[in-house]
Amino acid sequence: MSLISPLRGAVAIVGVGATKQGRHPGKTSDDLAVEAAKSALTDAGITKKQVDGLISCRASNGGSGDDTVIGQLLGLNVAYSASLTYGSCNFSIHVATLAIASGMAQTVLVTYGTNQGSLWGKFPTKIDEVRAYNGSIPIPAWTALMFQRQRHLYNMTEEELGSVTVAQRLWASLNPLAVRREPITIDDYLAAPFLIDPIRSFDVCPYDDGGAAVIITSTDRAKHFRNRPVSILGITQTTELRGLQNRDNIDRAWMKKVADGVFSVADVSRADIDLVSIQDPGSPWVVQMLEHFGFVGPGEGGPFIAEGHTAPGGKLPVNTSGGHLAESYMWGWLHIVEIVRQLRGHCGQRQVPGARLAIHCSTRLNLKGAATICGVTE
Amino acid sequence: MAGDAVSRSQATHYQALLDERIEFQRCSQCGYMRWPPAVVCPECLSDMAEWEVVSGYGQIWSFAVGVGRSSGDRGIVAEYVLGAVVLDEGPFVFGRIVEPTAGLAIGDRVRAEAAGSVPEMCVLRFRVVDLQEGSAP
Repeated sequence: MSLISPLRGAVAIVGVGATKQGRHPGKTSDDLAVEAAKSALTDAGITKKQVDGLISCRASNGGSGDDTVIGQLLGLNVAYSASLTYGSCNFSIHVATLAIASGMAQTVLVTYGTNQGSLWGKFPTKIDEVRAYNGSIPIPAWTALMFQRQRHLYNMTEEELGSVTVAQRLWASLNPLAVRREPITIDDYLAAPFLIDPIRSFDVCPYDDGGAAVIITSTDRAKHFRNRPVSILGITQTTELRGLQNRDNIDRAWMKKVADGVFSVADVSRADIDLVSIQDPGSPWVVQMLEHFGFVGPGEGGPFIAEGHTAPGGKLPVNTSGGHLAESYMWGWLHIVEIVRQLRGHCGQRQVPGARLAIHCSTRLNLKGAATICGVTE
Repeated sequence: MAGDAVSRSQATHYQALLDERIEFQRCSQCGYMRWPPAVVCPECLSDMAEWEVVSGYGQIWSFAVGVGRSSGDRGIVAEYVLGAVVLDEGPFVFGRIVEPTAGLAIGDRVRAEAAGSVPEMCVLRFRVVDLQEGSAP
């Protein structure tokens, strides 16, 4: 029996938009989601009247992001709307895909905004909370615990980990939207103090303000839009909702299930992927996902990145926008925006030549995984 | 989480830590040890459980060293080691490794004790012990 999804290529992304990234003092998360939505409508060449679905997402700082609020701000009485409490972009566009496939909506606006940077400051490190840990530890601690495992399992080095940020800063230096565009060398990385030993602040994305939005429609309708449609060829998720009941909360070998699923439903092989996008709250995520998704073998991620294969000019471009680490911390939303721009061929100096197939891989810590494969045809 | 009611099972667990006992619910029906505390067993959904004091022995799964820094008005925080530990009885828990704080390795055997005293700082402390200490089940 074929595992190829009947929804393969049924919907396409026809608009993407983003606000300026960095700091937006005086704006709420919802304001930024609205601004991003307008940008995506403009990109798609449509008015809000042509939208009949809305997916919104609660900001990482717990701001509203509620569809009933965003819908009112945008003046939308759509046929279908929903909001996700953890709508990092894969999860949100998957809901939009299902809404269109079911016929509940035809053209869906998917939007996100956050003012976490202005609200919280520079790094997501609440050391006192880590120290007082009873239920949830912040990203730097997860990042450090994850890299400690990679050192233990594979003798991964600090230089190898640092090469993740070195590569992504190089990509970001070619991306006008990116917040952290200054390239760094591995020596700069090693000279920085530990944030939490064994990781440095370069290994964790700081908080940024901004918004990003995507417009998705059925493939039949997509040809009437002005942009080259970017088809959604496969969507897959898995959960480990048992969380701390599971023995593996850090290595996350279960991500392989997402990888196998998404390549099967999309009928795409790893070798055909032109660029890889990995949600990267911390640099060890990138290494781990390259391994779990089978682009390299277990323990090979660190050396592979250190050899420059994921950097500009490398054989497997990864996080070509700079990702969270260098572009902006937008919960994976700008990762999808970047994929669309790459597949349209609109990325200027950082364009991956002839890019036709891309994958975006994301996780919600130790609880969920998701992936989307996008593609364009000639 | 601010605003959320603390369930009775969680309150019992954390009160025990204040009293310097580390105890978890053991399912009366299937024997599974629950962590985090919950109203039903996540294996068999039975609501019957007995509280059981554990040995505290376990193994370091991962660790990270926080460097001291000031945070808000709470003053300087001394260096501390965050430990992720798998207890012999099963629970995957976090806490502070207090002794030693240098030369640690994944796989080191530790013994947990309840930190006690300050409710919001009510966490587990771990001390590295001899590999043979305690009897792994």
